[in-house]
Formats: sequence, structure tokens, C-alpha cells
Amino acid sequence: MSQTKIQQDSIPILKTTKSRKPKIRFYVQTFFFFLVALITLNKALSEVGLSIPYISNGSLHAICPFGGVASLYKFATVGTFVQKIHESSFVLMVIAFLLAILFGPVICSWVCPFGTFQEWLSRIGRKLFGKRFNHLIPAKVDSILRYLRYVVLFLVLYLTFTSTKLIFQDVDPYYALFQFWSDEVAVSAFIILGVTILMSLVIDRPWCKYACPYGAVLGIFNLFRIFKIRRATSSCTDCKLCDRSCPMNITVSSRKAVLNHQCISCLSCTSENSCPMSDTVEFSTKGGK
Amino acid sequence: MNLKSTHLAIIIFVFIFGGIGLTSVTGYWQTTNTKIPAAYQDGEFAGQYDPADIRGSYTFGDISTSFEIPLKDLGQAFGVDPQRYASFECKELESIYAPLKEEGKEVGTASVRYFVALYKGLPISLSESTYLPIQAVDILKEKASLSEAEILSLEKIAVSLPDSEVLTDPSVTEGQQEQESTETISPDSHDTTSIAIKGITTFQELLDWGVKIEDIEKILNEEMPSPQKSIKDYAAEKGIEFSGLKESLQGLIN
Ligand code: SF4
Repeated sequence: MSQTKIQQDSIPILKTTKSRKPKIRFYVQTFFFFLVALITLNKALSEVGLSIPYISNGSLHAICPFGGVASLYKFATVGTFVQKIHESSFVLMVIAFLLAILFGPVICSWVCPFGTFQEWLSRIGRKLFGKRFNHLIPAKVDSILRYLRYVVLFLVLYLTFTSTKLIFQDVDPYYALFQFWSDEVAVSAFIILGVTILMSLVIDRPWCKYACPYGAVLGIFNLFRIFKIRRATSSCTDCKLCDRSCPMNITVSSRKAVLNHQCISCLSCTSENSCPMSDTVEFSTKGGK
Repeated sequence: MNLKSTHLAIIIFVFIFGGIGLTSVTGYWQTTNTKIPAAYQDGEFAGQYDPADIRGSYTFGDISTSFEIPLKDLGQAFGVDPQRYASFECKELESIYAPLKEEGKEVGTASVRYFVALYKGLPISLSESTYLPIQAVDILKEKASLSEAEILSLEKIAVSLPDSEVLTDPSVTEGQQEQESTETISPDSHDTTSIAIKGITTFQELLDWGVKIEDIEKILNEEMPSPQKSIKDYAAEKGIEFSGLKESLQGLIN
């Protein structure tokens, strides 16, 4: 049935083999991971009078766009940022928002070093659990837990607004990972980092799916982003490879366009990556070619 | 319009590094604190800097500039080494006043906020564990316009400074301090703790007590004057506060 459909349409081509070369996203992620690692190392070195040339020595907070979000209320009411947040966080927040309006949460999938870290761990998980990896949490529980990050977002913003301190630092596993040597990291952040590491061996991006308040903010943009994951129903063979490739467990095969707040615009499901049909799952504007 | 991974990667790089470059050129890109506190938004003090926004990373120099408080008053109030008045960061107070913290008395950034507010007659609320060094209270009594009630409440939160060694060398560990304070001094030992610099003490006497000339010069930031000169005369000649200099030199003896 589907073969006949392909012949009829005659435009989409069934791609027999997928490229084995590492995807460009992997290189971009690796670049940003090491850039952030070098910046945090440089910050530590600057405190003892040393420095790595051409690398910023800003703090981890200074290069985190979520600091800008957490500071919004104070900035609007008083004109300054919450403690430890600087103008650079605001600049990055605006850049991330512009990117999100156009492309959705690309910061999560292409830039965020903590997302990258979880993806690297998931490679081990895939080896351990095979096809069961990323499908071990019961669907019902999972679908409820997916909204937990909005609760975290609300709590973080409320507590930051009322205390004008960067409350999130005490539970931030990203901060714990990149500042593990610092006495500024709270035990709670280390515990959450440990739990995230363990969960990453079972499911893809557990922190992003269930707890990241910044992912929650950027996920909202999926409702109106200009470039969306769009599926051409005419050429789709319903093979469900797009669903299987999605780290966020989105059923791409049942939608014409992905509006799900959890999509991170990783492009794994597209015809460029996992879909065997050309021009079938694309990251495009409406009616885009 | 379709977008492939390569295009998206290029766009991400252009947005991020282009945005950083653009804001760097305009001077908005700042990865460190500008050290300017927020201002009161409304009420009687609208537009004035709010001491409650002073952060741990602010130096006494930053505070002196923003609030127009003489650096010397800030430094003396908190017993800071005169050489470091301008570069001293509020958060450093916590380590040098650490012994008081064990008694539930905190001298830290909150104390600086409170001192600045009272000095400038600005509103602020005080947390129960925040204390002020006795020198800070003296300076406020002298320079700020305080009511009788305010003076009384200030006296209740006044604490004495830890010994001068702790002040001039925050790296001294608690263990070392404890060991030093429990050490008994035998009658024939070189009893340095009983030696105190007074107005008539000369530089020669410092040398006689075993202080090295290089250490003295480090504190003076210049060559040591004639050994016969008294420290008080030297301070008067240079226009620096005797008590601050005395404290630093006393640190060398201890
Ligand atoms: S695989 Fe597709 S649907 Fe899933 S997160 Fe990536 S881009 Fe979104």
C-alpha cells in the first residue's frame, strides 16, 4: 500500500542508507560544552592570578541565559539584576528568545552543555538497555511528570522575585557539574546532579524533560515558532522511525506539525536524519520548500 | 522554506557570537558586576542608592564612590588593613569575623549595608544576627545624625574586633587561632603578646622586637624612616590614621 503511494507521488525518494558520519549537532554541542568548561576553568584561574588567553573569565552565572529570566522582575521594578547576574545573562536571554521565536528551543538541543552531558550519558544507557532505553517510565506517569518543570519554573521565579537572590543555584545540577570544586555548590545540587546522571542511563534528557525551568520557558515558544517540524502526510510511509528517533518521545508520525512544548528542535526526526523518505519530515516554515 | 542542520548551526553561531560582538561594541556586554547599587524607586528617598542592594563583591572603594562615604570611615569602622581600604570586598568580612559567627553574631555584608544606611540617614531593616564593630558604632555616633533610641540600639549590637592578626591576615585558620590563644607563655619566653604599640613607640623598638624591616616597609609602602622616629609622628607626617597603622604593625609583632 505504502509502496504504491510512493510510486504514485513519484517525488519523495526512499533513502536506502543513512549517513554514518557524526551529525553536525554533535560538533556544535561539543564545541559549546568545552567552551563553557574553559570559561569556568578560566574564572577559577583568574582568582589565583592566571588566565587562558582569548577566553572569557565570566562566572557560570554570567553566561547563563536563565539568569536573565530569573532577573526579569527585579530588572523591571528596580533596574538591576539579582545577585550574581550581569548584563551578559540578559543579552544571552534575548538571543535565546529570538532563536526560540524562529526555531524553538535550539539552545537546549544545540548549545546547553548540560543537555549535551545527558546525551553523552544516554549513549551508555542505550548500550545497557537497548530498545527499552527511553521507554522505561510508564506513559501515564511520564505524561504527568512532563509538566513538573512548569512547577519548578514557578517556584524558582517566585522565590527569586521575593528574595532577589539566585535561589536556583542551590538545586542546579548544571552549576554543580561545572563548579564541582567550588564550596559554593550546595549538597542539594550535587544530589540532583547524581539523580540526573543515574536517570540519564535510563531515559533521554531526564532533567530537560521533567525539571528544567529554562526548558519550560523555551518550550512555550513551540506553540508559535516560525520554523516547525512538519510532516508531509502524502509521502509518509508511517514507518514510525521519526517517533523512535525522538529523544523527547514525541509521536511525530501522528502530527502534521509538531507543537509539543517538549520538542527541542534537535532535527533527529527529519528526513535529513532518521526519516527514510526525502522531503517528508522537514524543519520548515508553513508551506515551505 | 526548509532548514537543514548545517544552516541551523551557522544561524546559531551568528546569533550568539554576533549578539555578543554587537553588545560588546556598544559596551552593554558585561560579565562582571558594575558595582552600582539599585536606587529607591519611590518615596522620600527616590533616586538615591539603596544600601540594601550592596553585594558581597562590592569593594569599600565602590561603596565609597556610590554613597560618598570617606573610605577611611568605612575602613576604620570595620577594622580593615589601611593598605586595603579601597580594594577590600564586603564578603571578606565574614572570614575575618568568623570567630564571632560561632556566637551567633554576624559581621558581614549586612553590617556594611546597615552602617551605610545609618551613616547616610537612609531606611533599612536589620536582621537579628547582624552586628557592628564597636569602631563602626563610634564613627556613626560621631558622624551620623542619630536619635537617642538609635544610639541605644546601636550599642546593643556593638561587638569588639577579633585580635589584629585575624584582621590583617584572613588566611589564618581557626585551628591556628585556637592554638595561639591557648598557648601559655613561659616567663622567660619572648612575650610578644604583651608588647603593644603606643604613641611613643619608635621604629627602632619594632626592630628590637624582631620585626623585619622589609615587613614594615611592605605596610608603609615605602622605605622605613629613621628608626628613631616614633610611629605616631610618622603617621601624622604622612596624614594617615595612627590607629590603622598601629593595628597593621601590631599584626607583625603578634
Ligand atoms: S526528534 Fe523531532 S520532534 Fe523530537 S525533539 Fe527532535 S525535533 Fe522535536
